[in-house]
Amino acid sequence: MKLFHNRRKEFEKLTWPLGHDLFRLAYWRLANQQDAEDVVQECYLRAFRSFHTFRLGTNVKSWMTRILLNVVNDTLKKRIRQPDLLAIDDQCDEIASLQDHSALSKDPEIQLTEREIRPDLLTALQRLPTSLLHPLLLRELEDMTYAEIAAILAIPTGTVMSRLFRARRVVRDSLTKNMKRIVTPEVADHEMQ
Amino acid sequence: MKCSDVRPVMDLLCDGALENKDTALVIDHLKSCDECQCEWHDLEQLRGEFNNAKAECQLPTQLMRKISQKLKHEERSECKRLIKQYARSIPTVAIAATIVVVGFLYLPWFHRIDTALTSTPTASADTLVADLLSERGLEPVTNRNELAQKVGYNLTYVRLPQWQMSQFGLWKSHGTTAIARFDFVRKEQSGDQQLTCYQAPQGAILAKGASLRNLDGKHVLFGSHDKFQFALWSQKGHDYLLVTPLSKLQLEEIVRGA
Repeated sequence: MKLFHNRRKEFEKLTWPLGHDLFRLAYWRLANQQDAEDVVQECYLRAFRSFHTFRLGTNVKSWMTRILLNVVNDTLKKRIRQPDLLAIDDQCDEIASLQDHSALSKDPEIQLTEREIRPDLLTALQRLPTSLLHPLLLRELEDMTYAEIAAILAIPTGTVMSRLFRARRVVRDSLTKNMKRIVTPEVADHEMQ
Repeated sequence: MKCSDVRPVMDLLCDGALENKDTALVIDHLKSCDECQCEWHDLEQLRGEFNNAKAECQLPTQLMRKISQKLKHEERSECKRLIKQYARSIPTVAIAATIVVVGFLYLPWFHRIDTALTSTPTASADTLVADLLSERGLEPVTNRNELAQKVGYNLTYVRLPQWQMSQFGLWKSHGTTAIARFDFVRKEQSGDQQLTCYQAPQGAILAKGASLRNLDGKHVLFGSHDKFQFALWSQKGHDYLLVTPLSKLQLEEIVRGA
């Protein structure tokens, strides 16, 4: 029993500092606090079960992130199999309605966090295909190097660079369009006066 | 530097992955090109958006506690699972242990049979006959049990109905295998006749220069040394050597009946 206890302590010592980063990544990937919490819990469980495969001295953050992305993919597949749940690629309105629904039903802490979501950025990100979204999130949210991203996603470093380039342009264009949509009615109102 | 050269590497500059020399060139270009400067500004703005987003996302206070509880539960489940797994394998382990113990106990017995049935050559028929002629080489033993103990293997006896055992004992050898010796006497009108039977584990006695004959399915080596005839054959894991001053024909008759 003590052996197991030591193993858990060692696991916690290594992985506990990553909790915030993993949650943030899951949160921005899934756009839902409850799902993000579930995914992070499942990620820790899976990592603990396969902790014997982890080689001490290697990058624990990369290892945990890889597991997290696998869990996220599984969660998204589940959503597709269960059409009554909201799909990740749904549009901004659906995300907003989900947040409104969450705000009514969840505890104050969750409500507070979800109100702070930047809907325009979130929407722009959700429109990205996974192949572009994952490199962008790992780079911008987790400050990972190209080499780390390449290792986690099992793609060449050059591919990481090109995907980041495309992802940034798509997000920027999406944000610009959104800005125009917001600005246009204001101009019209001003002209009417 | 042209705009078409600067645009693709702008992301690298943004990520701090551009070499110093190229960084200086790109920055020079940005100072002089409004369009690229605008593009650079957009990139920086996007970077700012992400930085704000990073700062806004807070880890729920209860999440790590929940994970810790789940890990403890997982730890207990794993422990129980392992105990069950070991419990299932106990019968197998018990059977294996029994086999090992039984094997260990009976190993000497098997080893004894093995040495009793096959042995390295210890003596030649000529030597045994020579010792018999010189009336030496016998260590008398008072009873058969003692003799069996001394030789270290089960003694079996050939059938010699008309002969009476006069003495028996252990042939004094320097080899590893003990050879038993039985002396017989048969009273005839012409006088007492002598017969000696040596018994040893199969392969212990050699008979060089002897001729092989088949006597009713029994493969027997016949030979002579001085005025003695001898016959050597193997039966039920033992070598039997009969030595007698009688004629070869008489010895064949004795072997047939033995």
